[in-house]
Amino acid sequence: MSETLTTRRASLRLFVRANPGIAVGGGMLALMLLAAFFAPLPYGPTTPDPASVLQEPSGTHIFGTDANGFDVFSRVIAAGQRDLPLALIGTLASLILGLLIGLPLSTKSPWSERLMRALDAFQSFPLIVLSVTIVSLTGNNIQNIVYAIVIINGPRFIRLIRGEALSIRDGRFIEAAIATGARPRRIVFRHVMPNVVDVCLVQCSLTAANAVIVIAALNFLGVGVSPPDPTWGSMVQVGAQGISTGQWWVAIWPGVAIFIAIASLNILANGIQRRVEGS
Amino acid sequence: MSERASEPSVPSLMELTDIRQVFRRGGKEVHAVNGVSLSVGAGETVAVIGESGSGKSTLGRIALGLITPSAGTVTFDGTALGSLSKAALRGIRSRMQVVFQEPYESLNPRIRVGDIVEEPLIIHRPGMSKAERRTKVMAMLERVGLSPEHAERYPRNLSGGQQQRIGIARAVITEPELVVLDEPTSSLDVSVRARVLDLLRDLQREHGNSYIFISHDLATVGLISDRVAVMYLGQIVEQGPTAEVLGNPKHPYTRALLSATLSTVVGEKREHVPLRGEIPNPSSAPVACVLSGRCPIEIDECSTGPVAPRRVADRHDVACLRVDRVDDLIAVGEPE
Repeated sequence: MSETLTTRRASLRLFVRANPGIAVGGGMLALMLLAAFFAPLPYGPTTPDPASVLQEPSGTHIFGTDANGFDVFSRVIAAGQRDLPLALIGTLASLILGLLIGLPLSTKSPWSERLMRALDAFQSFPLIVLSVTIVSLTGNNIQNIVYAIVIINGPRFIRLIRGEALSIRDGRFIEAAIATGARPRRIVFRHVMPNVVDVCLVQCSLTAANAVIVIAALNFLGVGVSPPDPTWGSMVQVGAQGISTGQWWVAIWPGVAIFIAIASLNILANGIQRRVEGS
Repeated sequence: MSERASEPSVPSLMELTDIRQVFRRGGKEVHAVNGVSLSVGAGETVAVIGESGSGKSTLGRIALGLITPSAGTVTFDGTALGSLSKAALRGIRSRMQVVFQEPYESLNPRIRVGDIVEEPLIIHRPGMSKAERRTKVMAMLERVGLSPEHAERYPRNLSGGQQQRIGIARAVITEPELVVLDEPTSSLDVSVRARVLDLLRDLQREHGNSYIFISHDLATVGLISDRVAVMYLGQIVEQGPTAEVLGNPKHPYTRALLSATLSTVVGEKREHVPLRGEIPNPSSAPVACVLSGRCPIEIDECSTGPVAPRRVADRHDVACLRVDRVDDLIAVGEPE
C-alpha cells in the first residue's frame, strides 16, 4: 500500500522533472479551477455589503471592495467558475470543427484548395470585431460567447489540421494502408487522425488562452454577463472607471487573474510542444 | 509473339503489358516507365533490378494498382486492374500485398504492432471474430520471429529488422498470391538482411506465392529470384532466368552493373565495364537505344530508333543491337 504510494509519488516526480512546462502550467490551471469551484470564500461573491464600498485592500478585504460593496477577492476567484469552463468548451468546439472540416479537406483536390482560399478570405477579417458584431446582433446570451470563440479559432484549427494531415498523407504508412485495401474513411480515422493529436494538444492550450481573452473582451462589452454573477471581463469594466480616481484595485485584480490564466495555458502549451518534439 | 516478354515456365499470375508511366514535374514530362512488359508466374520470384531512377519502384506500384499507368494493362489472375471499380480493387488487395523499403516509415507510429498486423484481417476477413484474428496475429508474429509480447509495442520500440518483420507479417497474413517486395532488405544490416531473406523464402515455400522483388542489389537478387529483369531508364533492357542473366549477361548495361558490384571473394578478378557519364533524366520518349551516348560499343544504328528486345537464348531477351559483340567490351573499355 505505502509501497505503491511511494512508487506513484516517485513516478510523479519523474514526470514533473521531465515535463516542467506541463506540470507548472497544468498545475496552475488545476489550482484556479479547484479554487473557483471548491475554495471557501471569505464573502459571498454575489452578496454586496453596502456598508463597505470601494474599500482599499486591507486585512478584512484583501483585494478591497468595489462600488457595489462586493468583495473583489471572492469575486476574482469565483469568476473562474464561468470563464474557465467556457474557455474550455469553446476550445473543444473549435477542435471538433477543425477535425470535421480539416480532415476531409486534407486532399489537394481543386475544391479543397478553393475552400481553403475562402477560409483565407474569412480570416482576413478582424475576427474579434466580426464575432462581437455577430454576438451583439444575435443577442446577449452565453452560447454566443462559444460561437465567438469558434469563429476566431475554428479556422486556425482547420488550417493546422489540414496542413498536418496533408503531410501525414504523404507518409509511407498511408501508402501501405491503401495497399492493404483500407477505405478512405478508415485511412482518415485510423491512420491520419491519431497522428494529428500532438499538434492539436498544443493548439488546444493556445486556443484556450485566446478564448480567455475573447471571453473577457466580450464580458467587458457586456455580452454574456448576467449580473451580479462575476466574470473577469465585467469586473475589469466595472473597475475601469475607478482607475483614474485612484481605486486601482477593482480593475487590477481580475486583470491579474486573466494574466495568470493565460500565462499558465501558454506554459502548458510550451510544455506539450517540448514533449511532442522530444518523442 | 517475338515481342512478348520472356515468359515464366509456370502458369502466369500477373501480366504487365506495354506499361508506360509519364509524370509531370514542373511542366516537364518524366517518362518513368517506358513500354515495359513483364509476366510473373504462380509461385515464381521475379527480380526487377536497376539503379535509382530506373523506374523499378514505379513499376512495382503500377503492378499493385497503387498507380494507374498512363498506358498499358495490368492483369492479375486474368482480371485487368484497370477494369475494376475502387471497391473491387480494394477487395483484390487481399491477394496482392507489398513490403516497402523503409520499415519504420511504412508502419503507423501511433498503432500497436499487433493491431498493424491485424488490420488486413479486419478489412478482408469480415467473418472472422476478434478472438480468431488475435490468434492468427499471434501465430503470424511468431512465424516471422517475434514474440506475442511484441504485439503490445509501438513500432519505434523495435529494431529495424523487427520492424521489417512486422511489415512482412502484415503483407502475408491474408496469404496473398503476389507480394511486391520493394527493396525490403536494403535498409537493413547485412546480418539481419540474410535472416529476412530466409524468412521470405520460407514463407514462399509454405504458401506458394509469387514475389516481385525490386532491388539494386545483385547479390541478393541472385539468392532469391527465379528470373531477373534489368531496368534502365524506364525500360527492361534484359530479362531471363537468373542464372542466365547474371551468369551470361548479354546487355552492355547489365555487364556494367555486374562489374560495378563489389566482389565478395577476395582477390577475385573482375572485368571492368565502363559507361560514360551519368544516368540521364528519363525526360523524353525514347528515340534511340536507352544506353545510347553511354555505351562503349555503340554503332550508328543504335541512335536511330528504340531497340526492341530479342531472344538470345531460352527465355532470355536482350534489347541490344550489339549482342554479338558484347564480349568485346573489355577490349574496348579503358578503366577510368
